[in-house]
Amino acid sequence: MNEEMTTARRCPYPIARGHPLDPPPQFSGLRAEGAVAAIELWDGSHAWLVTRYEEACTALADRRFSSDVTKDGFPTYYEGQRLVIEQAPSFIRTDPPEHSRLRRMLTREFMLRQVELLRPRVHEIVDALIDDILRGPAPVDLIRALAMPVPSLTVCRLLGIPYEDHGLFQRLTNVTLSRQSGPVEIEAAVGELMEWLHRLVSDKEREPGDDLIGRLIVDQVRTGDLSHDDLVGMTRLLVVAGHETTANMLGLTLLSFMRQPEVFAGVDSDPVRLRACVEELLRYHSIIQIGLARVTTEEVELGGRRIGPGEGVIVSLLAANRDGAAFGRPDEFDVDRAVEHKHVAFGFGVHQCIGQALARIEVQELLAGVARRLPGLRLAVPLEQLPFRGNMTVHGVHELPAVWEVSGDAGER
Amino acid sequence: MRVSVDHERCVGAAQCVLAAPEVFGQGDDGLVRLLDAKPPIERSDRVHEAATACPSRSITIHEN
Repeated sequence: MNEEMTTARRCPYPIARGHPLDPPPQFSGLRAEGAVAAIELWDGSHAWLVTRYEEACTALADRRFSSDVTKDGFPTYYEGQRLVIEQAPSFIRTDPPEHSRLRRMLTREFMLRQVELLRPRVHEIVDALIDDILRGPAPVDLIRALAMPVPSLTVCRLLGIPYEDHGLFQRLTNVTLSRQSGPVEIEAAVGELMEWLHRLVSDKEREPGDDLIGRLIVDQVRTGDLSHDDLVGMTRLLVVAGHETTANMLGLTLLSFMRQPEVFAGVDSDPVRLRACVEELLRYHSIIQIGLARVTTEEVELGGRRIGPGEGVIVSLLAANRDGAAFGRPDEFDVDRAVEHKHVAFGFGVHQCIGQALARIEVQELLAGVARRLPGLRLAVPLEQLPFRGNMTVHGVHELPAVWEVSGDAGER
Repeated sequence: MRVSVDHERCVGAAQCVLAAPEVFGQGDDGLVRLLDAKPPIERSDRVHEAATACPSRSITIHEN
């Protein structure tokens, strides 16, 4: 540990939000003081927090900021997190060249033209769920009725997982990603999740189908390039990342829609505006709310700050995407700001979200579907009464009660 | 302007394809394919945008 680190004033981290849709108010002060702030984590360990957009991109693209969780000094956010990481390893916690080798087995599956083939299916899923809402009672909880089933059905279809299993992985990932879960609870949840994954992958190894896992078995496992355990880790990553993040992003998308319906009116017939809306939603909500953890492999300088080797660094995507130096009036939702190739909601560097094209399709199709068929959708309770996911790694809302008015031809497919 | 890509560094995030689809594509492996190594000047802004957006910093622009 270097001298600067021991003498600097340390801010306990994570920091709670004030307004549920804005970053913690302390971020502006920390950002003004410097690109990198000294923080203290749950276990009393020290780390650095990156709050500026420019330095966030620099750090995430620099391979001296390692993602290898087995390295000394790798920071964690809550007590049970190390258990999750150690018992359920996956390639997002590795560095190149191992990371590149495993990621490349998936780039083909998630390339733009490949995931575009799933768009009609996502469209159908959204339409069928809206049919159910229109037939059902009001108020409706949009998290259970739309935000969770859209990614569950999509991910199950893509990976070839029986949809009956979605309740199981939803329940277990909710435990493992909560900072409120104790170590005993987490250990049990991880154990159950891994057992389910091993069984799923073993079944598919005997009889691989025409789905992502089946193709990995035929092309990578049977050729000896991918072990059973690595495939289990990969499947877990795809299930958790493909479900939890998207579901929460969809929940917040629906919330934004209901708060400012005029902003989203007509997006279903304007693909350019639809795309712009989704990119601004991604920037504005920046659901990976705590940040991305790294550990330095050698001494580095970042934003004028010297960081010693083996020190923990947390890059806040939320802070970076709300940095006024990169995005004017950062806390305003503004569809016209053209952030598409700039925001870091999907991270940056070699670990940038591999499923981002699919995530975009899901958010776009949901937003278009709601704008077309449920334009009269409105929040049934005041914003202050919504149960936000303050203690979760991924921001969102647990429940989103809504009512709707049907007028004219709205509601029709 | 002349553009080059580093296939070894590419992670297939496709930011370049979204920013400048006439210049960058994805091969069957999902990794970058350079479609136009000498893009016309009117595409300069979008090529720069692609290079900045590339998360693995695999795009180099040689101005001359």
